[in-house]
Amino acid sequence: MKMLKSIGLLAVLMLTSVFASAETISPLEETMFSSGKMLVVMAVAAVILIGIFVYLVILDRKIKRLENEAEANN
Amino acid sequence: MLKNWWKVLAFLLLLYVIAASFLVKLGPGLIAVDNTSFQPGQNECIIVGYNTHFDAGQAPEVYFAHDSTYMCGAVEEVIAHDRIRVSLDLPERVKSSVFNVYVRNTRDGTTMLPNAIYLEGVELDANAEGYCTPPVGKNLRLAFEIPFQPVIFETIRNLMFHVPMWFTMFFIMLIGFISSIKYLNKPKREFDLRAEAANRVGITFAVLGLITGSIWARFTWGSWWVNDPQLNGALVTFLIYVGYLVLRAGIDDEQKRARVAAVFNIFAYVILFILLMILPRFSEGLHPGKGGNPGFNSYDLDSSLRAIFYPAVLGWILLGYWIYRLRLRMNRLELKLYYDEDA
Repeated sequence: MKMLKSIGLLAVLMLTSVFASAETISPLEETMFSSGKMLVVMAVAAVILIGIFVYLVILDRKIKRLENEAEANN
Repeated sequence: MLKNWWKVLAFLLLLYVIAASFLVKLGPGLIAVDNTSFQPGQNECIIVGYNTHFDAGQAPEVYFAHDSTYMCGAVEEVIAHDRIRVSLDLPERVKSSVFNVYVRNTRDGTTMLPNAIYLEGVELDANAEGYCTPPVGKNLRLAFEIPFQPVIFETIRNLMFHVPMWFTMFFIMLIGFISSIKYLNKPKREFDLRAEAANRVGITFAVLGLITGSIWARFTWGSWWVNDPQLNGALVTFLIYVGYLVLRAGIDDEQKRARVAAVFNIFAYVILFILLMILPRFSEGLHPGKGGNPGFNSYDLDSSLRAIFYPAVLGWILLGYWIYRLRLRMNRLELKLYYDEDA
């Protein structure tokens, strides 16, 4: 259920960004355009790495919970 | 070790892919022209290149071209390796009002900036002749480098990160699709577990694909979200698969849940396929290969890009499959724990 909530939250966030996409460029975004937009690649690679690690941490926790219950049963 | 050869392969492939994606140099290209509107008479502009070597060897040659009409620019000054000042004597009558810029030198070959200059105050004449001899042939570059593309620049490297997320999602959800068909054919718990594990991992990769695509879009297409058939299709399929999880959470009876979820999942995969692989072929959009093949064609991928992209797809799919196996084993363990008597 917790995962569903977070997915729902993400969906809402993405939908709001669809409608509220600003056309102005902030100074932070300006730096992304420097050095041939190389930072965009770094950001994308970082998002994937973080995403996979977050998934593994969630999996880790669930397995921990199962282990605890298995121990309690025995 | 031998049993897990594909995990080792996944690691080695991704190691190669990440190293190559960040270390292989981007080829030379043109970024911008400082003066984009030309009038009849003498015009001057500075052409800005990227990873170019304008100052190496002979001075570069500059052409302004539209189809087969060529106008020769004169290089006034080589300011730096990526900067030249060029002048052009523009006639009154020309074929088109938009011209591409070509810069050619011995080190970089021919580099091009499409639709670089706009002509003002000229008379359009379809019969206007070319004004100088066109460049002969195209310099072939044999270097192992990532090709330069206008606007995209270095972010072409995202091809090795963003695109395989979707390939992985397709592959893992295919496992779920097949498991669901198998379940309807023969209602065994194992097939339901596989479908659920596959869809959960598939959703994770879809989320990664959406976020990375959104970041890439912001700095190349100009907005976090654009009205592209593939983007909207991806969001809809993502929501459909979230619906799959909501559906599962809403049915308490185990057999009923498995059966309803299997039927839902078969429809979901068909819709996923239609929205991401079929419909984009019939509509216009910003993704490569629109109005045709939604994937790549021979113009989009060159051989050095392929040498990194194909291992990337295989590596990410293997990694995704590994994560799916972990999730599946956890599901089996859960089942064994709660329904020990008939596991």
